[in-house]
Parts: sequence; C-alpha cells; structure tokens
Amino acid sequence: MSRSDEKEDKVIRWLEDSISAQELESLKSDNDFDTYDKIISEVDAWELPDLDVAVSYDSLKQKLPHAKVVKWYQSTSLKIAASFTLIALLVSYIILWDTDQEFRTGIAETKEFILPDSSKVVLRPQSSIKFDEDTWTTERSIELQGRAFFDVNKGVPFTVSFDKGSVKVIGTSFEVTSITNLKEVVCYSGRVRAMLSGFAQELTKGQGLVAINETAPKSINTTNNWAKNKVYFRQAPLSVVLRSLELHFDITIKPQEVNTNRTFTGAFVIDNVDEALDMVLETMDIDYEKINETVTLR
Amino acid sequence: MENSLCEEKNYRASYEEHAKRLRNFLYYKCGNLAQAEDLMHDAFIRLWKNCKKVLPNSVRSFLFTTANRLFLNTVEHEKVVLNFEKNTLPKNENNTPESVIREQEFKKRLEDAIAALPVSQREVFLLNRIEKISFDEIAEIQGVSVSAVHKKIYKALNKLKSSVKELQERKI
Repeated sequence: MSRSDEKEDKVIRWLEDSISAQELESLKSDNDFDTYDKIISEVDAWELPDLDVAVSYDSLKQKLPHAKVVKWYQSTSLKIAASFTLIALLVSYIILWDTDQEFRTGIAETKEFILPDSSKVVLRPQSSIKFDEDTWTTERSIELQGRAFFDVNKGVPFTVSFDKGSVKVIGTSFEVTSITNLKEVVCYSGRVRAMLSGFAQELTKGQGLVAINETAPKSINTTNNWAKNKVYFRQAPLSVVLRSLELHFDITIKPQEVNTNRTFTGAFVIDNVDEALDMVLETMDIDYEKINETVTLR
Repeated sequence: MENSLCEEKNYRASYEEHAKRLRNFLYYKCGNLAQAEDLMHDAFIRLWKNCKKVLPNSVRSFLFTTANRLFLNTVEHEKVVLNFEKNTLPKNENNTPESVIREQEFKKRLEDAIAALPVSQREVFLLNRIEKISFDEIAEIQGVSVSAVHKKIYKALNKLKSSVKELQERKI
C-alpha cells in the first residue's frame, strides 16, 4: 500500500468513525488533518429545511393518476391467489433466511420483478431466481431455474448461474432458459459472456448458445426482439415446446403417436391458448383436439 | 396482498419514509429546493404507476434510480448554489462580531466549494455527512462499488481542503 493509499484509508475510517485510537493519533499528525476536521465539523452541523410530509403528500396526491392500467395475462382470481402465495413465500423467506431472496412463479404465471439495483427480471412460469441481498452491492449474483429475461443496469458484475452454465454480463439484456433438455442463452442487447457445459463464448446482439438434450452447445442467431407476450424457440425438441405450452397455460398435452423429437423453431403467444397451440402445431402440421384443458395430438 | 404499494396506506408509508431524503438527494444534485421537490414528486408518481412491479424492499433503490434519471433528463442544469441551515447554537456567549463574521465567511466559502465539486462527488459527500448514509448504501444508490465511493469522498474532501487553505492564506 502506498503512503497516499494509506492516508486515504485512514481518512475513510475516520469519516466512518471506525478508526482505532492509534491510527487516529497518526492521522492527527498529518498536515491536512486540522483542515479536514474543521470542514467536517462544520458540514456535520448543516441541515436542510424540514419537509412538511403531510402537506407535500397532499400536493403529490393531486398529481397521481387515478386509474392504473397494468396488463396481465391471467385471470384476476388466479392472479390474486398466485400473488398471495408469492407474498407469503416472500415473507417467510425474509423471516427465515434474512438476506437470501428467492422469487418463484407458478404454472400459468409470468411475473416481472425489479431487483435491488432496479435491474428488471421477467420470470416465466415454473421458474425461480435466488440471490443474496447482502452481497448485492459488491456482486450481483443470481441463481436461476427455468426461464427468465434480464434487463441489467450498469454497475458491478452481474452473473446468472444455472444448471450446467452461467452468464456474466458486461451490461445489457438477455434471456436464459434452463429447463429439462434445453439450455439456452440469447443476448438481446449489449454483450454477455456465456458458459454452457464447459463451453465459453462472448455473445452480442442477436447471438445465442443452445444445448439440446445433453448435446454440445451450438451457436444460434436470431433477428427477433425479446417480447414479453411471446416465447421463442430455436431448433428446440417438440417435447420441450409442448412442456412449455403446458406450463404457460396449465393444460395437459397428450402426444399419442406424434414424434416429439422433431425440432421446432418459432414462437407462441402467452396470452391466448388457442392461438398458441395453432402457432406451434399448425406449423408442425399436427392435428389436435382440445377438450377442456386436455389437448390430444393426432 | 397487504404490503402492496398499490394500497394507499403502504404507498403513503413509503412516502413518509423516503420523501425527505429523496428531496435532499435531488437538492444536492440541482441546488434548487423547489425543483428538488418537484423531481421528488415525479419519482413518486412513477412509483405509483409501477406499484405492482416494485417489491417492497426495492422501493428505495427504485426511487433513487428513477430520481437520478429524472434529474439527468431535466433540460437545463443551472449553476448550483447551495444554502444550508445550521443546527447548532453559537458555541459561547463571548462571540465577537468579528468571529461571527469569520464563521459566516467560512460557511459561505465551504458551500461554494461544495457547489463547485463534480456532481457525483458532491452527492457522496453530502449524503454521507448530512443524510448520514453509510458508504455501502451510497454505493448501492449510485450503482458503483464501495471503493469508488471511498475515492470520491476522499477526492471531494481534498478539494474542499485546498479551497479552505486558500482562504486562510489570503488572510495572512
């Protein structure tokens, strides 16, 4: 440590009030200390005019819009039930584990979260993210299961780890899919460093890495933009796409004799089950019959 | 969802908790109390519009990040002029008029020197000294590392020191 670093270190600890008596003595012998002390004791006595919270809140209230429009894809009762479960889960996590935060989504539930640094996560159904709030300021590290889109604010390194891989962010937005038989990372803006089954690659806008079943990862390219109400697949096994449909709409799909190892490239919407089924099955030239919540393929 | 921000009771509680600090934070940026209060209200309006998305423990970070963005979007940044009140009584009764003047002069000099600091250094310095916010929390608000915050406040303090010393030397 150089002399000036040492001095900085002492000054910081003096400002934080965590300096030892011995170090304080040595800092006091510094030529600048008296001036520092004079400045700090002056400024520490300053304050701003108080804010009349009641009055200023009333004036804020006049500016608030009355109706709020937030679109949700699920029914109100389901939403309330799901939100309630989530809050209950959240509260119990806060109580039991203190700084480890975990958020999950259930079947037929897509949710958007704002992280402590205001970065955004959109979590698809049956997915979860976990992070430690305590270390968040030095290292933004998230564990993911399932599928999620991230829009990351600038700051300290942001890492998403998942089964068989991880993504380290250089500042950007990207989507990670970590479900049975499909691991995929797609970068939608900026740059990320992705690790998948021991294979590392830097991805820029429109580039991705996909591993299907247990095969080695392949590079993919896309011109699609990420969309909240659409889920994209690139050369994904039909079985994975069908499973994803089941999770998004809480339905059961019976493939019967249809070969589900064929691959699908395309998307389905998440706000309309019939449209979604058509988008996948018509493309694949598969007939189907839907009775209540069960879809039988032919 | 009893702790949802969309419930006015909870939203108001957030206001009571964060409004003053947020206004002060904006004042340190723009040096204008009325403008700071307006921007603070704008940030709370955004919070209301996003009440479903912002988790209860992300409220503060959401407000500060939003306020920061709103400040950067304000069209004109005028020259910053700071003006503080003092919360201590004069130290002793035998203050001479001369010492009172000298003290006021010192305060004015320091206010001007702080106003002349780069905005992020000024912010760190005043958030720490006046709002009594820890370096860890400031790092979170500014989205930088704690060691970057240490560097900023140390630089700020040294610039203030030079300007105060200049004043003293001129006296001699």
